[in-house]
Amino acid sequence: MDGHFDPLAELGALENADGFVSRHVAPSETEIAAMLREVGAASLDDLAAKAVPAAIRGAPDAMDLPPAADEVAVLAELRGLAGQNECKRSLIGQGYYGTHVPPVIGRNILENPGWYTAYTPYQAEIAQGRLEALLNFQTMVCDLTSMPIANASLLDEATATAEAMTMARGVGPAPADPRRAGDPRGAARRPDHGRGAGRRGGDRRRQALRRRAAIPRHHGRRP
Amino acid sequence: MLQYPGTTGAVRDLRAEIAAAHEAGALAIVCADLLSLVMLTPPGEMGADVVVGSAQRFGVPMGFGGPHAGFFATREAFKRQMPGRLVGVSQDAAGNPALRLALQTREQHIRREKATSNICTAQVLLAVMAGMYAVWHGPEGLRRIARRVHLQARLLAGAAVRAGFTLRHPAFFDTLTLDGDDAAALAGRASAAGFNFRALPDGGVSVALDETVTREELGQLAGLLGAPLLDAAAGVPEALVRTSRVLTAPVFSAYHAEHEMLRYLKRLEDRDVALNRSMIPLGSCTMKLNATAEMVPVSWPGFADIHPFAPAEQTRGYLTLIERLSGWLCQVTGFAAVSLQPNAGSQGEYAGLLAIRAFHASRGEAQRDVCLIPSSAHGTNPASAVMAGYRVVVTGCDRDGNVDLADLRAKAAQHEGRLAALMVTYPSTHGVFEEGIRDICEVVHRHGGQVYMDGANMNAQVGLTSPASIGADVCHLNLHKTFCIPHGGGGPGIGPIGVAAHLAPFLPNHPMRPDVGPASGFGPVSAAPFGSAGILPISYAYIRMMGAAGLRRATTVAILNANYMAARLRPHYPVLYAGAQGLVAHECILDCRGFQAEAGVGVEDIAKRLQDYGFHAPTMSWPVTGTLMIEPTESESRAEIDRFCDAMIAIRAEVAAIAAGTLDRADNPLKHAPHTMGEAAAADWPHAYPREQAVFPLPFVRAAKYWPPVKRVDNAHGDRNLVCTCPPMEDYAQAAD
Repeated sequence: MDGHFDPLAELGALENADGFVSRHVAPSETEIAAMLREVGAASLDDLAAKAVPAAIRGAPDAMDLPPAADEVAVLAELRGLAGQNECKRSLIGQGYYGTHVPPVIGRNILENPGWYTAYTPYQAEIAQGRLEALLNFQTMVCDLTSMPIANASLLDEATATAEAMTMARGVGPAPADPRRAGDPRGAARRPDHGRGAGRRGGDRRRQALRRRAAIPRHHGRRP
Repeated sequence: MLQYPGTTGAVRDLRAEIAAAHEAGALAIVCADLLSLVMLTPPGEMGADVVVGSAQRFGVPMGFGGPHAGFFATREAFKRQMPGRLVGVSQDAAGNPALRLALQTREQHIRREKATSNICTAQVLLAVMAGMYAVWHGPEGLRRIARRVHLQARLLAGAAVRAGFTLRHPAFFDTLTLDGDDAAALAGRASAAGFNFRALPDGGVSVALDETVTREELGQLAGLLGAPLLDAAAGVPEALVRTSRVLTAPVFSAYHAEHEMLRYLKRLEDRDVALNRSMIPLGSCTMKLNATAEMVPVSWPGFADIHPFAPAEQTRGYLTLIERLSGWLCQVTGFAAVSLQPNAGSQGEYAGLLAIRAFHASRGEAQRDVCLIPSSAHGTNPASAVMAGYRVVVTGCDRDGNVDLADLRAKAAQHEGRLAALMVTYPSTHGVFEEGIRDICEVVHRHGGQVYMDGANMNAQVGLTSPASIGADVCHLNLHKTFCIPHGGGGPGIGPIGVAAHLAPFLPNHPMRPDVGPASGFGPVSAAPFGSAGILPISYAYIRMMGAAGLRRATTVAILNANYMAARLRPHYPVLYAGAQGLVAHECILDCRGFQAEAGVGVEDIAKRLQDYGFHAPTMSWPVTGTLMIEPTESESRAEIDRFCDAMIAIRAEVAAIAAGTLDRADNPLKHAPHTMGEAAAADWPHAYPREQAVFPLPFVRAAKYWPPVKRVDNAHGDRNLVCTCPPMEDYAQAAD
């Protein structure tokens, strides 16, 4: 009989309910100790006390949150919540429709950290992949709407509408467009440059592209 | 502003109305459904000036309202006024075609007063999915899907007429609105059979078909109407049938075999640097771990396949999740109430500022319209304030980037009766816990204003302090920074706002869901009642797996990592700004301004050189020109931080070598960075430094080399020659010659 052995407490420790914390917070205890020495703090609490002004420092127990649970338990909890949503066939419309996510796209984009963990493509050289994917999106929108220029997305349809309104207000009365009157613009302005393009010469194709892409003659500098 | 097709399904010829609008000097904005445009005369051919809509039904789950990609298309004349990001074709330093964001000067972070909107986050991941849906199906596939949905609608319309219903709109694409004595009861029968119809307040009922409806379900639907599927009604009128071709660019016809598609996606993925390759130390962007366990539930049907306007009793799981998460975020912020509706930080700012306006108005002080913003603020702040109808008054900062209290006092007093709000970031945009924050809030309150806290730097607060205890009245959180929603290559995001009790009656609500938000709220800021609800499980899982102690540990280690990095780099780079104890908060700023005179090197050269080491650059020239702002987050190990610091130190040595004359001032690895595999393998190596130094500057680079696919991109060239759609392949080939 070992009076010191509390099997349930031991089991609790082995269950490692807050095991995810050390997956998310990368530095190990040893690394943390070494880094604390480097920055001149005795402990993490000491570091927090030094960095955060005393006047606004909160009590350690200020947040009342449920205790940490591990990945398996939280996924089970979320599966329970998902189960409380009823997936009826919604034919409500109003901008939201059932659609099949092609599995090749679901698994290789939506569920792929190579796509979902990237940042906004400001560093263009190392973002060529998603920039090309966005160019596809813009081209698709231009094609389907028959408009010459489309952006790389906005937050949702309602916001896009509000932005359109704001832009319309900002630009004032519509400037004259010589192509507008009685001219089915798509047919006149957007010759099919893809598969049908084989019938045309390179120069004409270039002109078509140029027209479509609106290359301003004196953009950015005065003539 | 015209809807095409209409919300109850009507397909109308818009030409006359658009012409009338133009006649009156107005622009014509058309809200269109993308799938219908495969078959319908497109708005552009009818003379529309702007076409907007949602790309959701192109392979993006409904997710109880989002996230989805909204789209915006317009005429060439308005390209400079167009909101949002625009990708365009340019060329790199070797003259090869290369893509980049075009006309960036429109963006609010570049040029505040000329910004075209306050939007930062877009919906890149979802736009990528929708674009790939078009690549995967191609023009033939899309036409088949559209024609199938349309034929289903026509068959169902035929059955409806046979059963004695009246079609409200004889011209339709996929949505029928039925009138008749039985219409009101129909929605109830449908619900019992497992279908959600839209019951209209006037007694009619709408049914919108989509590509997921099977032949069997169509039969069941006809059964509900009470007639068999025998004949097809007309649907799209002859005059509105599309004659022009769609998706003619080669990319939409090249990847129909799955192997081809798999390899295309992999090829594109491999060109990019994401967090699964190396740390992305962007200051103020908090590129922390997006754990796999957090991501998994997003694609479960129980979260993905829920319509935002499904009856509340079908969405109990979501409502419970939302209630719990809101409660937890109240605990984190110290506030009384939270709204999860805003789809981005910028939208959170907008919502918070509208709440403040409504609060002042409720007290008979609607004249309060001045918003104080420190000069160090994120560019989004003034853009949001202007959009929300405020007058922006800029207040100064001292040499350390802290709010100049004397100037703030003066401005607050000067605008005494008009002061509405102050927008302030904490810790400051300079990465410092400002000592004076309490005083700052107190000054604003004393003059009748409210304090809006920008939550971009919340990752340094969670568990250590809170917006409420600092003295703020409202703040937004970036769930895509602090609470683990991935950045998705530039969206999605969620920007919920938390408010103190006195502002709770003024949170967003929603006309379609009276139970969402306070009745006294100012209205919605998003299309869906709970915004991008489909990705809330990510933040839920994060908080649930961390607990209060785990979150507090994350914050403290984020501060430790930043200070460790500052300590390692301080001997090599001047580290700007620190708090009273000599510590930075969760990010640090390296001063590179001296390198220009010393070696002719700018921050952009350092950023591009980091690509040769396989790293994404830190935030450049913000908040101070000529500096780099680094935020390692708690999710980077010491080994990864050391690897990054080693790269930064090696680059510093190259700068020193240029200054010393060991490396040429013009022909050096910094000026020619990044280096591609093509040039490293070319027979001719024209540079004064060795190839090895160019592409394998440190031993760890050799072990897992990332090859930048293009050389430095020429932004100006692309803006002078704007091409923002896929050019035909021949043009790429000719440009490369």
